[in-house]
Amino acid sequence: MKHPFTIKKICINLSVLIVFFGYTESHAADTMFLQKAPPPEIIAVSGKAKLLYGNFIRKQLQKRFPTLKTIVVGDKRYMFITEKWFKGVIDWTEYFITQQVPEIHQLENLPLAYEATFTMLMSNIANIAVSKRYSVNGSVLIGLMVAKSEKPWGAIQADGKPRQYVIGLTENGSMIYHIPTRQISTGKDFPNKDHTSGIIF
Amino acid sequence: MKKLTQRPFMSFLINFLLILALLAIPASGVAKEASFKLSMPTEFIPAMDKDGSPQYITAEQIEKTLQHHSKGFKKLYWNKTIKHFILTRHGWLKELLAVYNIMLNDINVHAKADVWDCENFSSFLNALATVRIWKSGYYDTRGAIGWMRVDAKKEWAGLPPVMHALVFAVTEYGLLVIEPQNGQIVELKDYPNKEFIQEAFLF
Repeated sequence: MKHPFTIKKICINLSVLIVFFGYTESHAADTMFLQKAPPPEIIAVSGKAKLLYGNFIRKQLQKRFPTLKTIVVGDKRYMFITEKWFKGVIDWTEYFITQQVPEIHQLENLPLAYEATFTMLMSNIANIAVSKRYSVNGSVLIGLMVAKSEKPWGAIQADGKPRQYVIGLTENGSMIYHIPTRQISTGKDFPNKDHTSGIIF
Repeated sequence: MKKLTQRPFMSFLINFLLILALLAIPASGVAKEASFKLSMPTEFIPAMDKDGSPQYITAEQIEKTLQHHSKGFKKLYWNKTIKHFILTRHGWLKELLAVYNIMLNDINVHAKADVWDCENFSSFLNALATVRIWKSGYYDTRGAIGWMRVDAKKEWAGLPPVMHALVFAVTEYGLLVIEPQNGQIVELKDYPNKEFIQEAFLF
């Protein structure tokens, strides 16, 4: 007697199912496949994460930047990260945006809200990475800084216009990154540090 | 004779197993280690005027609305170079919230003091919404979606009355308050802590 479910038929059906599910998954409009972000690197002292308190940061910033009008420090504790990882998260944030909006760098001008959105994504991506790897009650200190361009800095002219930057706290002190020109500097060497008007963490 | 009929089947079976093995490699091998799947909301849909054009609002109008409902409201922070903020269609906003929940499950992230708290839930959703709006070609505006700090005195959406961060959005139904941790939505006029909204961020 011939059995209705031969091995051959089962194999054919399985192939059809594999091809079908492979097709639907790869063509789902609501799904993205992303490379993993670089693993987080935080600064530790005696085996514990090096932390700074939000209130202390606020006072330090007021002292360091007397022109600051707006300071928003939302969390209680912040941690230091390595400069290498800070740069790695910059690259990954750009990759994350480009994966969704591939034509973004072909535009004549970046979208109006680009810098602030980039910074918010970057800060949250860094915090997600840390929260998944370490058991630390502290936030990565990555925020948005606004400073007037009174002095030239590389490709940026001294036109007096306010510009937005990413600011991050690393083992080498604060790092300032200008997203459209991809220039990076330490806070100490940033030429317009005396014209900073706002920092939001 | 028997051997002759079995050979094509054996060759088919071997080929099939080979294809199966090749298909399985990206799912369980190197590719899975280096990459991950992330759910994303579908294409952004703006709220429309009767003539079919997208609806916009100014930051001043949003600020005025917040001031009207909250005596303690201090400031709306916004990028002065953006003149008009595009309104989200209510249906798309609801989809965004549902997919956000799936997305956070995909990446397996949970609430944790400072490192992933209410501010992170709110500002991340805000930034993701902006990227989806760019994806739909609206580069010269920004969504009328932001986040705010509230010194909550009453429990709402299952969260205790403490200093809290929430999302706000303007749709065809007006200014709405959203709890990004569970997707609950309420109109600003019905939000029990409306008078305790302190500051809002629209950038």
